[in-house]
Amino acid sequence: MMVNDILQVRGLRLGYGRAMVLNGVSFEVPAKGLIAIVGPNGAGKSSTLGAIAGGNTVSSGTIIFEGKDITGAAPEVIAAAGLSFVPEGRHVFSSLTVEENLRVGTFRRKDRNAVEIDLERVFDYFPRLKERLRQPGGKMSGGEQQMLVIGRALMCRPRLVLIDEPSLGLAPRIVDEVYDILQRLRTEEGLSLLVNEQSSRRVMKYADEIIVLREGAVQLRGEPSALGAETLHDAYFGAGTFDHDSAGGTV
Amino acid sequence: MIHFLQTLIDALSLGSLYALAALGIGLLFGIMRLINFAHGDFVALSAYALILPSTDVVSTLFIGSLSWPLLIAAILTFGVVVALLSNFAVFRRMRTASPQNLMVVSFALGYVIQNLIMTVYGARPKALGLWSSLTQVIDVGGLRVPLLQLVTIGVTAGLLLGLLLFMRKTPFGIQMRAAADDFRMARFLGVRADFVIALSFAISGLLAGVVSLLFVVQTGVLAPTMASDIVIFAFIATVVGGMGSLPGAVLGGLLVGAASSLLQAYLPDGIRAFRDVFVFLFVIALLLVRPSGIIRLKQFEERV
Repeated sequence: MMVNDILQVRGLRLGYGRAMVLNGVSFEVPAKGLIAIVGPNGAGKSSTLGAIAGGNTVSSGTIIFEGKDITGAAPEVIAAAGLSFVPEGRHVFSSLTVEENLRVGTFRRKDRNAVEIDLERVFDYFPRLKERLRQPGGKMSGGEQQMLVIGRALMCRPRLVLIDEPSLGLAPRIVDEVYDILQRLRTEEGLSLLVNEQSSRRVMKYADEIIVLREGAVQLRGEPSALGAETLHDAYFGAGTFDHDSAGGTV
Repeated sequence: MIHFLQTLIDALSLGSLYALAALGIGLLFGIMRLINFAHGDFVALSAYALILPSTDVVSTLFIGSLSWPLLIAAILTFGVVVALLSNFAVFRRMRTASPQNLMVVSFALGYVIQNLIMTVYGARPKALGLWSSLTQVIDVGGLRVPLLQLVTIGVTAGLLLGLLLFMRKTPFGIQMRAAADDFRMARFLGVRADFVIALSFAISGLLAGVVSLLFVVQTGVLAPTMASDIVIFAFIATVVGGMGSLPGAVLGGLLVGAASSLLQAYLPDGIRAFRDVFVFLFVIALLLVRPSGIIRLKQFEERV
């Protein structure tokens, strides 16, 4: 356990009914780090992020954010503590304008005069949002919506942002754009990031550490450069399924 | 022509009452998927607060004896308190319940309030003369209009405008709209669930208070089930307008009120008694054409 970890997850277990989704997941996110959780559909990636953000009820385990135990806290309490969550499927408030979407998370902030400055900063990262301020959020393209929900999360002034599948349903060019911005947010704003992806190829380039999750348990973790294609593949799909003829890191 | 204009004012005034009640129901449905059939009992209880608690046949004014600004403030506050108490005592404990269960619970709460009224005030209807000067008929260019109808329309228009500004311009309103759109996501952004729900109950109770005053002045009668009809029509109005949409609730209320008044005026004498049948036929026809109501919201559409 490092002192400068912004998030520590210990022995996280949760289930829906009798089926366990997570069987003791542990990992940590270093301050200003970008950690990627990868794994197949149904591995428990979304449940992990949901549990950290307070959206899913945890059976056991602890979640420590900036030294404070936030296990079982309400989502709005966790958000106010400085941890923002961008769930899968974006969840833009479609009947609110782009500007209202951005402001929803700012009303409980105590530093009200910094809100306008933050708004300008978000426009700096996502210039297209500024052109569409008065437009309903539901009328935007998928890429624009992804930028809107990341910008919206930033307006809460978080220190850690969890993003569930940021590249889902986006054109490769837009995905690159999103990841470039995430990279900038790390270096320029000192933001810590925890990202879920189904495909590990893209996050390999950006992440400090890859965590492979399958069947509700961590199968493998390590720096991207230290993980070979075969070990990654085995962790992802289960041992012995690696096909050497078509090995190209398609995971 | 004069007759038509008078009918139109009738329609607008009845529609206003339905619209206000429909808003009270639609607001809670939008935020927490609660179809609150106890809303009518909020209205009735607020109306009974005008008189002294007693089972006497004759009513004695209580809050009703105050000067009009104080009276309005007191009854609206009372409506807000009743709604908030219902939230704290009942609905707050079943946040995660399904919409069907919530609706059943609202029926139960409604019966509890009704029986409370019968125990405290007696079951028999009571006459109550309040602001009788409002029932006078004034002459506007040959048009004979009850003053109360104009007041009802004016009050409704004012409230709608106020609510619109509140929902569009204030932080509270924007948070409520966000919660109505996607409650879970709003919480992930720091919107407090308890607060937003309590706020919707408060506004809903305020609207119930307004309806109770307008209705009591109009009918001059208090009865434990006095608002049942209004609430049924208001519920239909929210369905017609599109469940969960506030503009839809207003539109639906005006439409149902207008249909009622126009049928009352133009149906042949022999079948006028069956007016409501025709209102419901109209509603069925409308829903056949637009099953999700006039204003469709995608978060409430059934996925087939």
